[in-house]
Amino acid sequence: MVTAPDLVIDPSLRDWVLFPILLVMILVGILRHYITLLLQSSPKQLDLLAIREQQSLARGASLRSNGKLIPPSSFQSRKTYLIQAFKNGIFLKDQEAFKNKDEPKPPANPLAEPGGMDQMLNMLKGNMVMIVPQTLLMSWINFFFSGFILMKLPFPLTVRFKSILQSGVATRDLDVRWVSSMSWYFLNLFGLRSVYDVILGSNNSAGGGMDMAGMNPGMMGGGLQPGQDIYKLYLSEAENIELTTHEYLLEDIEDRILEKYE
Amino acid sequence: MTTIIDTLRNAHTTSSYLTLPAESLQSLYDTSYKFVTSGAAARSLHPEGLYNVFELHFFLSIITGKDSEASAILTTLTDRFGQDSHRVGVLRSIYLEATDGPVKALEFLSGRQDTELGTLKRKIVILKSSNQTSLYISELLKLVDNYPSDAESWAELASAYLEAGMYAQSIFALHEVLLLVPLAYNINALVGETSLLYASSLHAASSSHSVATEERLLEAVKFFLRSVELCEDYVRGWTGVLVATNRIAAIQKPFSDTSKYKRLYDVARKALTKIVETKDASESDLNAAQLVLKNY
Repeated sequence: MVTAPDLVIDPSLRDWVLFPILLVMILVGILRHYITLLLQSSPKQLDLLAIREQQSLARGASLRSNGKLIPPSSFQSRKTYLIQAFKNGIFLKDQEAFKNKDEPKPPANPLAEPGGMDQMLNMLKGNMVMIVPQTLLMSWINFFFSGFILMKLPFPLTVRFKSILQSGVATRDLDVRWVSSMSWYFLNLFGLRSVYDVILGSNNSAGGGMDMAGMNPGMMGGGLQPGQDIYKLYLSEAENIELTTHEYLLEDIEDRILEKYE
Repeated sequence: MTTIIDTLRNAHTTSSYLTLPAESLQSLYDTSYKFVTSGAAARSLHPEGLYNVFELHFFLSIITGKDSEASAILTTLTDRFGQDSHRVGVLRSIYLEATDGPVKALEFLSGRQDTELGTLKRKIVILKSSNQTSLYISELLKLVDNYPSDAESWAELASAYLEAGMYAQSIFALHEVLLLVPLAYNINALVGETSLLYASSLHAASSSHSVATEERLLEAVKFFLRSVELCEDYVRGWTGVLVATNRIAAIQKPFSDTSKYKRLYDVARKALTKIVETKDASESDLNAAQLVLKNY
Protein backbone atom coordinates (compact mmCIF):
# COMPACT_ATOMS: atom_id res chain seq x y z
CA MET A 1 0.00 0.00 0.00
CA VAL A 2 1.36 3.34 -0.99
CA THR A 3 1.12 5.99 1.67
CA ALA A 4 1.28 9.60 0.72
CA PRO A 5 3.99 11.55 2.47
CA ASP A 6 2.57 13.15 5.57
CA LEU A 7 1.79 16.82 5.63
CA VAL A 8 3.84 19.01 7.86
CA ILE A 9 2.10 21.94 9.43
CA ASP A 10 3.91 25.18 10.04
CA PRO A 11 3.90 25.79 13.81
CA SER A 12 3.04 29.43 13.25
CA LEU A 13 -0.31 28.23 11.88
CA ARG A 14 -0.97 26.88 15.34
CA ASP A 15 0.23 30.04 17.07
CA TRP A 16 -1.38 32.57 14.76
CA VAL A 17 -4.55 30.86 13.55
CA LEU A 18 -5.61 27.91 15.68
CA PHE A 19 -5.23 29.53 19.09
CA PRO A 20 -6.46 32.98 18.03
CA ILE A 21 -9.67 31.53 16.65
CA LEU A 22 -10.24 29.61 19.89
CA LEU A 23 -9.47 32.66 22.01
CA VAL A 24 -11.65 34.97 19.97
CA MET A 25 -14.53 32.52 20.11
CA ILE A 26 -14.32 32.28 23.88
CA LEU A 27 -14.11 36.04 24.31
CA VAL A 28 -17.00 36.63 21.94
CA GLY A 29 -19.05 34.10 23.91
CA ILE A 30 -18.35 35.94 27.16
CA LEU A 31 -19.15 39.25 25.53
CA ARG A 32 -22.38 37.81 24.21
CA HIS A 33 -23.31 36.64 27.68
CA TYR A 34 -22.92 40.11 29.16
CA ILE A 35 -24.65 41.84 26.26
CA THR A 36 -27.61 39.51 26.65
CA LEU A 37 -27.74 40.35 30.36
CA LEU A 38 -27.69 44.06 29.56
CA LEU A 39 -30.39 43.81 26.93
CA GLN A 40 -32.72 41.75 29.07
CA SER A 41 -35.75 43.76 30.05
CA SER A 42 -37.22 42.98 33.43
CA PRO A 43 -40.44 40.98 33.25
CA LYS A 44 -43.40 43.30 33.03
CA GLN A 45 -46.00 43.27 35.74
CA LEU A 46 -49.44 42.36 34.50
CA ASP A 47 -52.29 44.38 35.87
CA LEU A 48 -54.60 42.72 38.36
CA LEU A 49 -57.40 41.99 35.92
CA ALA A 50 -55.03 40.29 33.50
CA ILE A 51 -53.66 38.13 36.30
CA ARG A 52 -57.20 37.20 37.30
CA GLU A 53 -58.04 36.37 33.72
CA GLN A 54 -55.18 33.89 33.47
CA GLN A 55 -55.34 32.37 36.92
CA SER A 56 -59.04 31.65 36.73
CA LEU A 57 -58.34 29.31 33.86
CA ALA A 58 -55.93 27.39 36.09
CA ARG A 59 -58.66 27.14 38.69
CA GLY A 60 -60.78 25.13 36.30
CA ALA A 61 -57.87 22.81 35.59
CA SER A 62 -57.19 22.19 39.27
CA LEU A 63 -60.85 21.43 39.87
CA ARG A 64 -60.74 18.86 37.10
CA SER A 65 -57.60 17.13 38.31
CA ASN A 66 -58.08 17.32 42.08
CA GLY A 67 -61.87 17.49 42.35
CA LYS A 68 -61.94 13.91 43.57
CA LEU A 69 -60.57 15.05 46.93
CA ILE A 70 -63.57 17.12 47.96
CA PRO A 71 -67.10 15.94 48.79
CA PRO A 72 -69.61 15.59 45.93
CA SER A 73 -71.73 18.55 47.00
CA SER A 74 -68.70 20.78 47.22
CA PHE A 75 -67.51 19.62 43.80
CA GLN A 76 -70.92 20.11 42.25
CA SER A 77 -71.34 23.66 43.44
CA ARG A 78 -67.88 24.63 42.15
CA LYS A 79 -68.58 22.91 38.86
CA THR A 80 -71.81 24.81 38.33
CA TYR A 81 -70.25 28.09 39.34
CA LEU A 82 -67.15 27.77 37.16
CA ILE A 83 -69.07 26.65 34.08
CA GLN A 84 -71.44 29.60 34.43
CA ALA A 85 -68.60 32.01 35.09
CA PHE A 86 -66.57 30.80 32.13
CA LYS A 87 -69.54 30.93 29.78
CA ASN A 88 -70.56 34.40 30.90
CA GLY A 89 -66.98 35.57 30.70
CA ILE A 90 -67.00 37.20 34.13
CA PHE A 91 -63.25 36.69 34.53
CA LEU A 92 -62.43 38.49 31.30
CA LYS A 93 -60.45 41.66 31.79
CA ASP A 94 -62.13 43.44 28.93
CA GLN A 95 -65.87 43.27 29.66
CA GLU A 96 -66.65 45.86 27.03
CA ALA A 97 -65.15 43.80 24.25
CA PHE A 98 -66.96 40.74 25.53
CA LYS A 99 -70.34 42.46 25.19
CA ASN A 100 -69.58 43.35 21.60
CA LYS A 101 -68.18 39.96 20.78
CA ASP A 102 -70.81 39.22 18.14
CA GLU A 103 -69.62 42.06 15.97
CA PRO A 104 -67.07 40.96 13.43
CA LYS A 105 -63.60 42.02 14.41
CA PRO A 106 -60.35 42.07 12.49
CA PRO A 107 -58.02 39.13 13.03
CA ALA A 108 -55.99 39.69 16.17
CA ASN A 109 -52.66 41.29 15.55
CA PRO A 110 -49.97 40.14 17.96
CA LEU A 111 -48.20 43.47 17.61
CA ALA A 112 -51.26 45.40 18.76
CA GLU A 113 -51.02 44.02 22.27
CA PRO A 114 -48.33 45.69 24.36
CA GLY A 115 -47.25 42.34 25.82
CA GLY A 116 -46.87 40.81 22.39
CA MET A 117 -44.74 43.68 21.18
CA ASP A 118 -42.37 43.22 24.11
CA GLN A 119 -42.04 39.56 23.47
CA MET A 120 -41.25 40.05 19.81
CA LEU A 121 -38.67 42.65 20.64
CA ASN A 122 -36.99 40.34 23.15
CA MET A 123 -36.79 37.56 20.61
CA LEU A 124 -35.39 39.96 18.07
CA LYS A 125 -32.73 41.15 20.52
CA GLY A 126 -31.72 37.59 21.30
CA ASN A 127 -31.41 36.74 17.65
CA MET A 128 -29.40 39.85 16.88
CA VAL A 129 -26.91 39.09 19.64
CA MET A 130 -26.48 35.67 18.11
CA ILE A 131 -26.38 36.51 14.43
CA VAL A 132 -24.24 39.64 14.30
CA PRO A 133 -21.09 38.22 15.94
CA GLN A 134 -21.50 34.98 14.03
CA THR A 135 -21.56 36.77 10.71
CA LEU A 136 -18.56 38.88 11.63
CA LEU A 137 -16.52 35.93 12.86
CA MET A 138 -17.33 33.84 9.88
CA SER A 139 -16.38 36.51 7.39
CA TRP A 140 -13.20 37.17 9.38
CA ILE A 141 -12.15 33.55 9.12
CA ASN A 142 -13.28 33.28 5.54
CA PHE A 143 -11.35 36.35 4.53
CA PHE A 144 -8.04 35.63 6.24
CA PHE A 145 -7.84 31.89 6.75
CA SER A 146 -9.93 30.29 4.05
CA GLY A 147 -8.58 26.93 2.98
CA PHE A 148 -6.15 26.61 5.87
CA ILE A 149 -5.45 23.24 7.39
CA LEU A 150 -4.92 23.77 11.08
CA MET A 151 -4.42 20.47 12.85
CA LYS A 152 -4.51 16.72 12.71
CA LEU A 153 -6.74 14.69 14.94
CA PRO A 154 -4.88 11.97 16.84
CA PHE A 155 -7.43 9.28 15.95
CA PRO A 156 -8.69 7.86 12.67
CA LEU A 157 -12.17 8.67 11.36
CA THR A 158 -14.40 7.42 8.57
CA VAL A 159 -14.84 9.30 5.33
CA ARG A 160 -18.25 10.54 6.41
CA PHE A 161 -16.64 13.11 8.67
CA LYS A 162 -14.97 14.79 5.73
CA SER A 163 -17.76 17.29 5.23
CA ILE A 164 -17.70 18.22 8.90
CA LEU A 165 -13.96 18.49 9.37
CA GLN A 166 -12.83 19.84 6.04
CA SER A 167 -15.37 22.43 4.99
CA GLY A 168 -13.74 25.06 2.85
CA VAL A 169 -11.04 22.68 1.61
CA ALA A 170 -11.79 21.10 -1.75
CA THR A 171 -9.28 18.26 -1.69
CA ARG A 172 -10.88 14.91 -2.16
CA ASP A 173 -7.94 12.71 -1.21
CA LEU A 174 -6.90 14.42 1.99
CA ASP A 175 -7.07 12.24 5.09
CA VAL A 176 -10.18 12.95 7.18
CA ARG A 177 -8.08 13.61 10.24
CA TRP A 178 -6.94 16.99 8.96
CA VAL A 179 -9.15 19.83 10.19
CA SER A 180 -9.70 23.01 8.22
CA SER A 181 -10.04 26.51 9.66
CA MET A 182 -13.73 26.84 8.84
CA SER A 183 -14.42 23.50 10.51
CA TRP A 184 -12.40 24.54 13.54
CA TYR A 185 -14.68 27.55 13.80
CA PHE A 186 -17.78 25.36 13.69
CA LEU A 187 -16.36 22.91 16.21
CA ASN A 188 -15.78 25.82 18.56
CA LEU A 189 -19.21 27.28 17.92
CA PHE A 190 -20.94 24.09 18.98
CA GLY A 191 -18.45 22.74 21.48
CA LEU A 192 -17.57 25.63 23.76
CA ARG A 193 -20.71 25.29 25.86
CA SER A 194 -18.96 23.50 28.72
CA VAL A 195 -16.08 25.97 28.67
CA TYR A 196 -18.57 28.80 29.12
CA ASP A 197 -20.19 26.85 31.93
CA VAL A 198 -16.85 26.72 33.72
CA ILE A 199 -16.08 30.41 33.19
CA LEU A 200 -19.51 31.96 33.66
CA GLY A 201 -21.33 29.37 35.71
CA SER A 202 -24.27 27.37 34.46
CA ASN A 203 -27.33 29.15 33.08
CA ASN A 204 -25.21 31.58 31.08
CA SER A 205 -26.31 32.89 27.74
CA ALA A 206 -22.92 32.75 26.04
CA GLY A 207 -23.99 29.88 23.84
CA GLY A 208 -26.61 32.20 22.42
CA GLY A 209 -29.48 30.58 20.66
CA MET A 210 -27.88 27.14 20.38
CA ASP A 211 -29.68 25.57 23.32
CA MET A 212 -32.71 27.80 23.01
CA ALA A 213 -33.67 26.51 19.61
CA GLY A 214 -36.13 24.10 21.19
CA MET A 215 -37.63 26.40 23.72
CA ASN A 216 -38.74 29.95 23.46
CA PRO A 217 -38.74 31.92 26.68
CA GLY A 218 -42.11 33.44 27.29
CA MET A 219 -43.88 30.77 25.31
CA MET A 220 -43.21 28.38 28.17
CA GLY A 221 -44.95 27.93 31.49
CA GLY A 222 -48.45 27.85 30.11
CA GLY A 223 -48.29 31.53 29.35
CA LEU A 224 -50.78 32.78 26.87
CA GLN A 225 -49.60 33.62 23.44
CA PRO A 226 -50.40 37.07 22.23
CA GLY A 227 -53.40 37.33 20.03
CA GLN A 228 -55.05 34.24 21.44
CA ASP A 229 -58.72 34.57 22.24
CA ILE A 230 -59.01 33.73 25.90
CA TYR A 231 -62.77 33.47 25.76
CA LYS A 232 -62.42 30.46 23.48
CA LEU A 233 -60.12 28.88 26.07
CA TYR A 234 -62.75 29.57 28.71
CA LEU A 235 -65.42 27.88 26.64
CA SER A 236 -63.33 24.78 26.09
CA GLU A 237 -62.42 24.70 29.79
CA ALA A 238 -66.12 24.93 30.67
CA GLU A 239 -66.76 22.01 28.35
CA ASN A 240 -63.96 20.02 29.95
CA ILE A 241 -65.33 20.65 33.41
CA GLU A 242 -68.78 19.65 32.27
CA LEU A 243 -67.40 16.34 31.04
CA THR A 244 -65.58 15.63 34.29
CA THR A 245 -67.23 12.99 36.41
CA HIS A 246 -66.75 13.08 40.12
CA GLU A 247 -65.35 10.02 41.85
CA TYR A 248 -65.02 10.84 45.50
CA LEU A 249 -61.67 9.51 46.66
CA LEU A 250 -62.75 9.53 50.29
CA GLU A 251 -65.93 7.53 49.63
CA ASP A 252 -64.58 4.26 51.03
CA ILE A 253 -61.65 5.57 53.02
CA GLU A 254 -62.99 4.00 56.23
CA ASP A 255 -62.73 0.56 54.64
CA ARG A 256 -59.29 1.30 53.24
CA ILE A 257 -57.94 2.31 56.63
CA LEU A 258 -59.61 -0.60 58.42
CA GLU A 259 -58.19 -3.02 55.90
CA LYS A 260 -54.74 -1.59 56.39
CA TYR A 261 -54.66 -1.52 60.17
CA GLU A 262 -56.85 -4.40 61.32
CA MET B 1 -19.74 23.01 56.19
CA THR B 2 -22.31 21.32 54.01
CA THR B 3 -24.42 20.41 57.01
CA ILE B 4 -24.66 24.05 58.06
CA ILE B 5 -25.70 25.04 54.57
CA ASP B 6 -28.29 22.29 54.51
CA THR B 7 -29.72 23.31 57.87
CA LEU B 8 -30.07 26.90 56.76
CA ARG B 9 -31.46 26.02 53.37
CA ASN B 10 -33.96 23.68 54.97
CA ALA B 11 -35.04 26.32 57.43
CA HIS B 12 -35.63 28.71 54.54
CA THR B 13 -37.60 26.39 52.27
CA THR B 14 -39.79 24.93 55.02
CA SER B 15 -40.15 28.19 56.99
CA SER B 16 -39.56 26.06 60.08
CA TYR B 17 -38.15 29.07 61.91
CA LEU B 18 -41.68 30.41 62.31
CA THR B 19 -42.66 27.65 64.73
CA LEU B 20 -39.37 26.89 66.50
CA PRO B 21 -39.10 27.15 70.29
CA ALA B 22 -36.98 30.02 71.57
CA GLU B 23 -33.71 28.15 72.25
CA SER B 24 -33.50 26.46 68.85
CA LEU B 25 -34.42 29.76 67.24
CA GLN B 26 -31.53 31.43 69.01
CA SER B 27 -29.10 28.72 67.94
CA LEU B 28 -30.36 28.89 64.37
CA TYR B 29 -29.84 32.64 64.49
CA ASP B 30 -26.29 32.17 65.78
CA THR B 31 -25.56 29.73 62.98
CA SER B 32 -26.88 32.02 60.29
CA TYR B 33 -25.12 35.00 61.84
CA LYS B 34 -21.77 33.23 61.78
CA PHE B 35 -22.42 32.01 58.28
CA VAL B 36 -23.43 35.36 56.86
CA THR B 37 -20.70 37.42 58.55
CA SER B 38 -17.84 35.00 58.03
CA GLY B 39 -17.85 35.43 54.29
CA ALA B 40 -17.93 31.68 53.90
CA ALA B 41 -21.40 32.11 52.49
CA ALA B 42 -20.33 33.95 49.38
CA ARG B 43 -17.71 31.35 48.59
CA SER B 44 -19.69 28.20 49.08
CA LEU B 45 -23.14 28.94 47.74
CA HIS B 46 -24.75 29.50 44.39
CA PRO B 47 -26.03 33.11 44.31
CA GLU B 48 -29.66 32.12 44.57
CA GLY B 49 -29.03 29.96 47.63
CA LEU B 50 -26.87 32.69 49.10
CA TYR B 51 -29.58 35.33 48.92
CA ASN B 52 -32.13 32.89 50.29
CA VAL B 53 -29.88 32.47 53.32
CA PHE B 54 -29.63 36.25 53.57
CA GLU B 55 -33.40 36.45 53.54
CA LEU B 56 -33.59 33.79 56.23
CA HIS B 57 -31.08 35.71 58.33
CA PHE B 58 -33.23 38.83 57.94
CA PHE B 59 -36.32 37.01 59.24
CA LEU B 60 -34.36 35.48 62.10
CA SER B 61 -32.98 38.89 63.08
CA ILE B 62 -36.48 40.36 63.08
CA ILE B 63 -37.91 37.52 65.14
CA THR B 64 -35.10 37.62 67.68
CA GLY B 65 -35.35 41.39 67.91
CA LYS B 66 -32.00 42.35 66.42
CA ASP B 67 -33.06 45.39 64.47
CA SER B 68 -29.64 46.71 63.51
CA GLU B 69 -28.61 43.30 62.16
CA ALA B 70 -31.86 43.17 60.13
CA SER B 71 -31.25 46.65 58.82
CA ALA B 72 -27.72 45.75 57.73
CA ILE B 73 -28.79 42.66 55.84
CA LEU B 74 -31.69 44.57 54.29
CA THR B 75 -29.23 47.16 52.99
CA THR B 76 -27.13 44.40 51.44
CA LEU B 77 -30.16 42.95 49.71
CA THR B 78 -31.36 46.36 48.55
CA ASP B 79 -27.92 47.12 47.12
CA ARG B 80 -28.00 43.92 45.15
CA PHE B 81 -31.59 43.91 43.88
CA GLY B 82 -32.62 47.56 44.04
CA GLN B 83 -35.67 49.19 45.55
CA ASP B 84 -37.99 47.91 42.87
CA SER B 85 -37.64 44.22 43.63
CA HIS B 86 -40.89 43.16 45.19
CA ARG B 87 -39.26 40.69 47.55
CA VAL B 88 -37.03 43.43 48.91
CA GLY B 89 -40.14 45.62 49.22
CA VAL B 90 -41.84 42.96 51.32
CA LEU B 91 -38.79 42.70 53.57
CA ARG B 92 -38.61 46.46 53.99
CA SER B 93 -42.26 46.62 54.96
CA ILE B 94 -41.66 43.90 57.56
CA TYR B 95 -38.72 45.87 58.90
CA LEU B 96 -40.77 49.07 59.05
CA GLU B 97 -43.61 47.30 60.81
CA ALA B 98 -41.22 45.91 63.39
CA THR B 99 -39.47 49.21 64.05
CA ASP B 100 -41.81 52.09 63.19
CA GLY B 101 -45.18 50.42 63.57
CA PRO B 102 -47.88 49.28 61.12
CA VAL B 103 -48.89 52.79 60.00
CA LYS B 104 -45.46 53.52 58.56
CA ALA B 105 -45.38 50.10 56.91
CA LEU B 106 -48.76 50.69 55.27
CA GLU B 107 -47.59 54.07 54.06
CA PHE B 108 -44.55 52.46 52.49
CA LEU B 109 -46.60 49.70 50.88
CA SER B 110 -49.13 52.08 49.37
CA GLY B 111 -46.28 53.73 47.49
CA ARG B 112 -45.53 50.47 45.71
CA GLN B 113 -47.10 48.77 42.74
CA ASP B 114 -50.26 47.11 43.93
CA THR B 115 -50.25 44.19 41.53
CA GLU B 116 -47.51 42.28 43.30
CA LEU B 117 -48.83 39.36 45.27
CA GLY B 118 -46.34 39.93 48.09
CA THR B 119 -47.25 43.59 48.52
CA LEU B 120 -50.97 42.83 48.48
CA LYS B 121 -50.55 40.12 51.08
CA ARG B 122 -48.47 42.35 53.35
CA LYS B 123 -51.12 45.08 53.22
CA ILE B 124 -53.82 42.63 54.22
CA VAL B 125 -51.74 41.07 56.97
CA ILE B 126 -51.17 44.47 58.53
CA LEU B 127 -54.97 44.92 58.51
CA LYS B 128 -55.26 41.74 60.53
CA SER B 129 -53.48 43.25 63.51
CA SER B 130 -55.99 46.14 63.55
CA ASN B 131 -58.81 43.76 64.59
CA GLN B 132 -61.24 44.70 61.83
CA THR B 133 -62.36 41.19 61.01
CA SER B 134 -64.99 41.99 58.40
CA LEU B 135 -62.67 44.33 56.51
CA TYR B 136 -59.90 41.76 56.78
CA ILE B 137 -62.11 39.04 55.30
CA SER B 138 -63.41 41.22 52.49
CA GLU B 139 -59.85 42.18 51.52
CA LEU B 140 -58.86 38.51 51.55
CA LEU B 141 -61.84 37.73 49.33
CA LYS B 142 -60.66 40.34 46.86
CA LEU B 143 -57.20 38.78 46.93
CA VAL B 144 -58.39 35.23 46.20
CA ASP B 145 -60.64 36.59 43.48
CA ASN B 146 -57.59 38.02 41.74
CA TYR B 147 -55.16 35.24 42.62
CA PRO B 148 -57.32 32.11 42.81
CA SER B 149 -54.31 29.83 42.49
CA ASP B 150 -52.52 31.03 45.62
CA ALA B 151 -53.05 28.37 48.27
CA GLU B 152 -51.67 30.49 51.11
CA SER B 153 -54.35 33.14 50.66
CA TRP B 154 -57.11 30.54 50.70
CA ALA B 155 -55.68 29.01 53.87
CA GLU B 156 -55.54 32.42 55.53
CA LEU B 157 -59.12 33.08 54.47
CA ALA B 158 -60.12 29.77 56.01
CA SER B 159 -58.53 30.64 59.33
CA ALA B 160 -60.13 34.09 59.29
CA TYR B 161 -63.56 32.53 58.74
CA LEU B 162 -62.84 29.98 61.44
CA GLU B 163 -62.03 32.74 63.91
CA ALA B 164 -65.29 34.45 62.98
CA GLY B 165 -67.15 31.20 63.61
CA MET B 166 -68.26 30.82 60.00
CA TYR B 167 -67.48 27.13 59.66
CA ALA B 168 -69.14 26.37 56.32
CA GLN B 169 -67.21 29.19 54.62
CA SER B 170 -64.01 28.09 56.29
CA ILE B 171 -64.46 24.55 55.00
CA PHE B 172 -65.12 25.91 51.53
CA ALA B 173 -61.83 27.80 51.56
CA LEU B 174 -59.99 24.73 52.85
CA HIS B 175 -61.46 22.64 50.03
CA GLU B 176 -60.05 25.21 47.67
CA VAL B 177 -56.61 24.73 49.24
CA LEU B 178 -56.95 20.97 48.78
CA LEU B 179 -57.70 21.48 45.09
CA LEU B 180 -54.40 23.33 44.76
CA VAL B 181 -52.26 21.23 47.10
CA PRO B 182 -53.82 17.78 46.89
CA LEU B 183 -51.37 16.00 49.19
CA ALA B 184 -51.42 18.44 52.11
CA TYR B 185 -52.21 16.09 55.04
CA ASN B 186 -52.29 18.97 57.50
CA ILE B 187 -55.02 20.71 55.50
CA ASN B 188 -56.99 17.47 55.43
CA ALA B 189 -56.78 17.30 59.22
CA LEU B 190 -57.76 20.97 59.40
CA VAL B 191 -60.90 20.25 57.35
CA GLY B 192 -61.66 17.48 59.82
CA GLU B 193 -61.20 19.77 62.81
CA THR B 194 -63.34 22.50 61.28
CA SER B 195 -66.05 19.95 60.52
CA LEU B 196 -65.94 18.82 64.14
CA LEU B 197 -66.36 22.39 65.35
CA TYR B 198 -69.14 22.88 62.84
CA ALA B 199 -70.89 19.79 64.15
CA SER B 200 -70.60 21.06 67.72
CA SER B 201 -72.05 24.42 66.80
CA LEU B 202 -74.92 22.80 64.91
CA HIS B 203 -75.54 20.52 67.87
CA ALA B 204 -75.57 23.43 70.27
CA ALA B 205 -77.99 25.34 68.07
CA SER B 206 -80.58 22.59 67.69
CA SER B 207 -79.97 20.96 71.09
CA SER B 208 -80.94 17.60 69.65
CA HIS B 209 -79.17 15.29 67.27
CA SER B 210 -79.83 16.11 63.61
CA VAL B 211 -78.93 14.71 60.23
CA ALA B 212 -76.75 17.73 59.51
CA THR B 213 -74.70 17.23 62.66
CA GLU B 214 -74.15 13.60 61.88
CA GLU B 215 -73.12 14.36 58.32
CA ARG B 216 -70.52 16.82 59.60
CA LEU B 217 -69.14 14.22 62.00
CA LEU B 218 -68.90 11.54 59.32
CA GLU B 219 -67.17 13.97 57.01
CA ALA B 220 -64.75 14.93 59.75
CA VAL B 221 -63.79 11.27 60.15
CA LYS B 222 -63.27 10.95 56.40
CA PHE B 223 -60.85 13.88 56.25
CA PHE B 224 -58.96 12.81 59.38
CA LEU B 225 -58.58 9.36 57.85
CA ARG B 226 -57.33 10.89 54.64
CA SER B 227 -54.67 12.81 56.56
CA VAL B 228 -53.37 9.66 58.28
CA GLU B 229 -53.54 7.84 54.98
CA LEU B 230 -51.14 10.43 53.59
CA CYS B 231 -48.96 10.63 56.69
CA GLU B 232 -49.03 7.53 58.86
CA ASP B 233 -47.58 9.01 62.05
CA TYR B 234 -49.61 12.20 62.02
CA VAL B 235 -50.64 12.69 65.63
CA ARG B 236 -53.15 15.40 64.83
CA GLY B 237 -54.88 13.15 62.30
CA TRP B 238 -55.09 10.17 64.64
CA THR B 239 -56.32 12.21 67.61
CA GLY B 240 -58.94 13.65 65.29
CA VAL B 241 -60.08 10.19 64.27
CA LEU B 242 -60.25 9.21 67.91
CA VAL B 243 -62.29 12.23 68.99
CA ALA B 244 -64.66 12.13 66.01
CA THR B 245 -65.37 8.41 66.21
CA ASN B 246 -65.87 8.76 69.95
CA ARG B 247 -68.50 11.42 69.30
CA ILE B 248 -70.21 9.24 66.72
CA ALA B 249 -70.29 6.34 69.16
CA ALA B 250 -71.98 8.58 71.70
CA ILE B 251 -74.92 9.27 69.38
CA GLN B 252 -78.07 7.64 70.74
CA LYS B 253 -80.03 7.06 67.55
CA PRO B 254 -77.76 7.42 64.55
CA PHE B 255 -79.34 8.00 61.14
CA SER B 256 -76.86 5.79 59.37
CA ASP B 257 -74.93 2.64 60.11
CA THR B 258 -72.13 3.51 62.53
CA SER B 259 -70.76 0.07 63.33
CA LYS B 260 -67.60 0.77 61.31
CA TYR B 261 -66.70 3.70 63.49
CA LYS B 262 -66.32 1.64 66.64
CA ARG B 263 -63.64 -0.34 64.85
CA LEU B 264 -62.00 2.83 63.56
CA TYR B 265 -61.94 4.12 67.13
CA ASP B 266 -59.96 1.05 68.18
CA VAL B 267 -57.58 1.46 65.27
CA ALA B 268 -56.93 5.08 66.14
CA ARG B 269 -56.39 4.26 69.82
CA LYS B 270 -53.91 1.57 68.90
CA ALA B 271 -52.01 3.83 66.53
CA LEU B 272 -51.83 6.67 69.04
CA THR B 273 -50.73 4.38 71.86
CA LYS B 274 -47.98 3.07 69.64
CA ILE B 275 -46.81 6.59 68.78
CA VAL B 276 -46.80 7.56 72.46
CA GLU B 277 -44.90 4.41 73.45
CA THR B 278 -42.23 4.79 70.80
CA LYS B 279 -42.09 8.58 71.36
CA ASP B 280 -42.23 9.01 67.62
CA ALA B 281 -43.33 12.65 67.61
CA SER B 282 -42.47 16.08 68.98
CA GLU B 283 -42.84 16.85 72.69
CA SER B 284 -46.03 18.89 72.35
CA ASP B 285 -47.61 16.37 70.00
CA LEU B 286 -46.92 13.56 72.48
CA ASN B 287 -48.48 15.54 75.31
CA ALA B 288 -51.57 16.24 73.21
CA ALA B 289 -51.81 12.57 72.25
CA GLN B 290 -51.64 11.49 75.88
CA LEU B 291 -54.29 14.02 76.86
CA VAL B 292 -56.64 12.83 74.11
CA LEU B 293 -56.02 9.18 74.97
CA LYS B 294 -56.97 9.88 78.59
CA ASN B 295 -60.12 11.88 77.85
CA TYR B 296 -61.70 10.04 74.93
